[in-house]
Amino acid sequence: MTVFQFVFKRFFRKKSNSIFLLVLPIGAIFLPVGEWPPIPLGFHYYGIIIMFIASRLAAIIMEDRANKTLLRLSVAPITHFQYLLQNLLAYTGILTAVNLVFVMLGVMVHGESVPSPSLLFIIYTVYSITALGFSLAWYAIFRNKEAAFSILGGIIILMAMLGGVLWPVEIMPESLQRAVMLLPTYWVAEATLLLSYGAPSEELVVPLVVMFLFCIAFLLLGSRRRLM
Amino acid sequence: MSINWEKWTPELAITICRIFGLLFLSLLWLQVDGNKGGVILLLFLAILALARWRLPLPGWTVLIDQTVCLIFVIYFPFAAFALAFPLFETLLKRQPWFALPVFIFTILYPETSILLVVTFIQAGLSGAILGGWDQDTNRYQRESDRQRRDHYELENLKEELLIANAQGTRMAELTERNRIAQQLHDDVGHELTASVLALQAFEELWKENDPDAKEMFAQAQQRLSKSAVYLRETVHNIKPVKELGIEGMHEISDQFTLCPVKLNVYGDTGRVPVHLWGILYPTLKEALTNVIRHAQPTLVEISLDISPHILRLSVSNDGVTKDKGDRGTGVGLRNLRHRAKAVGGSISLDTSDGFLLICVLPIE
Repeated sequence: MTVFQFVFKRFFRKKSNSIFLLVLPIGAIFLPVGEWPPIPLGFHYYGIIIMFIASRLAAIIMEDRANKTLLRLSVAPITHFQYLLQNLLAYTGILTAVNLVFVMLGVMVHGESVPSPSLLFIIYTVYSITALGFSLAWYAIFRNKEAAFSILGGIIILMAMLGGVLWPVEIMPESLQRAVMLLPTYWVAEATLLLSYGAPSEELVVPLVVMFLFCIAFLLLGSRRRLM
Repeated sequence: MSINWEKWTPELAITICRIFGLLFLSLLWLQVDGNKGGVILLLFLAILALARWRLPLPGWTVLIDQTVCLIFVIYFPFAAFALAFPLFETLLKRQPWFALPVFIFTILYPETSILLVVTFIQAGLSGAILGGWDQDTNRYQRESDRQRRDHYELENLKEELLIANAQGTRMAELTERNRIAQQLHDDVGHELTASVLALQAFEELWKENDPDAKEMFAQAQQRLSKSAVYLRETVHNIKPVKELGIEGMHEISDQFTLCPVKLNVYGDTGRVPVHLWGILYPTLKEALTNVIRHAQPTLVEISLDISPHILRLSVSNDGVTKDKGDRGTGVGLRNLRHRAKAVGGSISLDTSDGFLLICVLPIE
């Protein structure tokens, strides 16, 4: 599990990463309850934060590819599958810990207005893996690290806007409302909205299954071994 | 503008086909009824397409696609068009029997439209064409790989044979030199030393006018004459019994008594390297044996042409061949061919009109 351990070392070596991991979720917790949705805003926006953290984490693999570590790993006694698995496990571990801390702090701050902390935690965890898969697939397309990273920021915001994280999907044109169903952000927003409106927990199955399917598709796309 | 057709591999075409299929299905889903179940179907098909792109999935997995599509058809009619995906994949994999559920569905489904049938035919045809292209490319690639490997092996064999040939020649030379040195040392050397010592003794005795001097001189003379005999014998022993060179050819042809043999030699036989004689003798013997075995000749003609760079030996007879028909070349001739090949030459055989063997060898 050397790769697994080194992910932590490499990620927390940069001060900016630790601050990034702390400031964004804690800042989000203290956002008030707005007109829409009937849940503290931070819980709704947390989907974007997950995507940003995931993009930061998955950049480690991009870095490995850019400085030819991946090329050297290909002659090391470790399979590409092992390398990916240990990396993704470490990322998932970090994100799950952040999710747990976020939900617990949120409950402490907002108390009764949080609908169901355990379901929220499940939604966030499933979405974390989807976001990691998305970042992985995104970085697999690009050769230049800086270009990939800067465009990804814009793409995340755009996906959040279209997916109904920043405003309700219903205010957009009819045709667009259906098309955005093909974005993973739509489904995390949908899941938190269903939760906040007090829908029965069976209805949450569809968004969770869709997020899971998105995750598999992204992982299949992103796990391709690219050495250069 | 020129298109680089090398870039268009079957894999790329298959990927493009899958992407377009998913795109069209998404558009259909948007137009018909954009509900949530459709997203799951689209994602499921996308995952299977990605899995087929990444990993070699076995052919039966299309049954999963078909089952899922058929379940979805009950709720969403547009899922009928999604059946084009498994159809494409089965024909791509050259296993059309796995597409049987699609055929049964098309016949039994009450809302089968011309559009649906056309979509299926289109998907199936493109799958079949791309599959055939892929198969052909793979076959040619394998074939060219095999040929390249054979080529390398032969090249190696040739080099090894050439080296072995040179080494053999050198070893023979060294052994021979060793034998000569030993013989000279053992017989001639001892006698000469003894006679030198005897002569020295005679010189001393002669100075002192000893009566034994005369006897000593006789002894020395005897030893010298003995060593002369030894030397002659050694030289005689060293010299091969059989002459290397054109004499050997004459000898072989003289031994052939079935019919008259005409041996013509053109060019300087002294230019032929020793190791080539080692190929020429057995070739001639083999050719004459074949003549005895397969023909009834009245005259055998042997000609040896030696030009500055090449030598050509041809053996032909005028008689009729006994048994016409396709005979494979024998072991003897095959070995000779290999040996000739090792020095860069060739041996060819023609039995259509009488018997004709031509051996061509390069001279350094």
